[in-house]
Amino acid sequence: MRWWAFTKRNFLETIRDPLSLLFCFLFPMMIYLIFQIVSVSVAGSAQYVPQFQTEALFVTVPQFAFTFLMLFVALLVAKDRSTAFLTRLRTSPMRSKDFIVGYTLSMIPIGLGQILIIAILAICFGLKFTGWSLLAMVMEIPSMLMFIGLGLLLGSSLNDKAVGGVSSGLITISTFLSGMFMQPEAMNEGFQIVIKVLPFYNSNIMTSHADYGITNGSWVWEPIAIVFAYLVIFYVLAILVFSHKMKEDA
Amino acid sequence: MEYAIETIHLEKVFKKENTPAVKDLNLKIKEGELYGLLGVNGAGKSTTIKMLSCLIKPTSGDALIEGHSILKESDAIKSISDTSPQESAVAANLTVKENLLLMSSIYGKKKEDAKIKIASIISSMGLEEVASKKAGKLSGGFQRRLSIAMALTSDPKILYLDEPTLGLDVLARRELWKIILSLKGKKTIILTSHYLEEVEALADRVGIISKGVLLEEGTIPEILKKNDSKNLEEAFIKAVGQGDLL
Repeated sequence: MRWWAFTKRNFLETIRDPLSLLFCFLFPMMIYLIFQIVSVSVAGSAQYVPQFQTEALFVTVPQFAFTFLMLFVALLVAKDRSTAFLTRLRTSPMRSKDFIVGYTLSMIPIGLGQILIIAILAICFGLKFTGWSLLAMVMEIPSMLMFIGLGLLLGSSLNDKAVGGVSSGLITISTFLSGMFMQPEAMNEGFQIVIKVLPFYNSNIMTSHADYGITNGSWVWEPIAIVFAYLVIFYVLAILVFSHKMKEDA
Repeated sequence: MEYAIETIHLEKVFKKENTPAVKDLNLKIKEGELYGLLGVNGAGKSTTIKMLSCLIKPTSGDALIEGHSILKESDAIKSISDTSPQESAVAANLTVKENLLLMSSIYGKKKEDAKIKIASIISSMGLEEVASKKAGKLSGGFQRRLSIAMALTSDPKILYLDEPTLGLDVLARRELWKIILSLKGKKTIILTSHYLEEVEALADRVGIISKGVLLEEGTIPEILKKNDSKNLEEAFIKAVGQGDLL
């Protein structure tokens, strides 16, 4: 079980870094609390902001948290590639699939923890937790995997110096395009097309739909298809680039 | 099988370079022998190790490791050999024990067997005092020791030590020499180095490599005699064709 040994190593390597705990857990919690306070303070006034309501934050903040998962997996892969540690493992019986599985699985407990913590916060702020809420939490998982896949792709493509900057830029862009701060309807038509073609807004819609969209009696497949398509694309590209870079880095 | 390691016209030309990094290399290394590959930076030592450990493919030629071809049987070779790379190759946020356990698990060792083996390695490598410390917090000497210890957890028949004492102070280097000497005869070892005194102190036989070409090989007395030299430094300088520096 080479992949399992490697998964454990990656998990320990990540959670023992205080920065990863700060960014993966504390930062999303702070964002949640700030938005929740804003929401409470403007309740009933003309400045009512629907995306800052408890039900909305319950599904959008984990998506924001996953962007940090993407950052940390990208940093881990790029750092491993820059050191002799990965060279050593490549002289062992480890195969490319062991590396990809090991990096992915190690991030899943952290991602699940992010979903759980935000759910607890949302319940504390009055979320009525129903079966649909649970479904929404389950629907966060494909988005989480998509962000891990994107992190793998970035870490495989970029060196350890560039990966932090590029990932941070992508965190800003993906958050902006996710509809978390601003509804797409508030933007011009061109922007709306970009937003709907990219996965970030669609992953929010997918989980929001599970949370309260179902009450409309219909299920929208388009965002699900888009998120899954990006998930597959990111992983296929990550595997190809990782395998290629492993030979190039040797 | 006469030799533990045998290279047959082994050659490597990197795509971006015109000149071969390793050219027509023919080594024959016996079981339990410690073979020192001596050369200046960029001579082709690490490229040779990378080919023998199946990290990169040769452009032409082949090598047999315990009878297995590096071209066709990389899985078999990876299960019987291990490498301690030029830089310390450790997981920084894992403890010394966890690093050793990681390598044992990757090589498919049973947990109970691994624990016994790891305890023995920790003791023989003098790692007891740092066993519970994170690898990233260790000194350069201890990190290099751990790096070699990690290569021993799989109990490899063949061990590649690529510049094992590079960048270490004199005391840490001597400590590591003692450890390497304790492995002599138990493993077949290729040790690359550009420190002449290191190769002189450790190796059974020495190969002098320059610009990818193996210029000479033999025991130290044989190399000294061939170059009509009093010491290895003089012999090395003569062998690489820089006699005017003497």
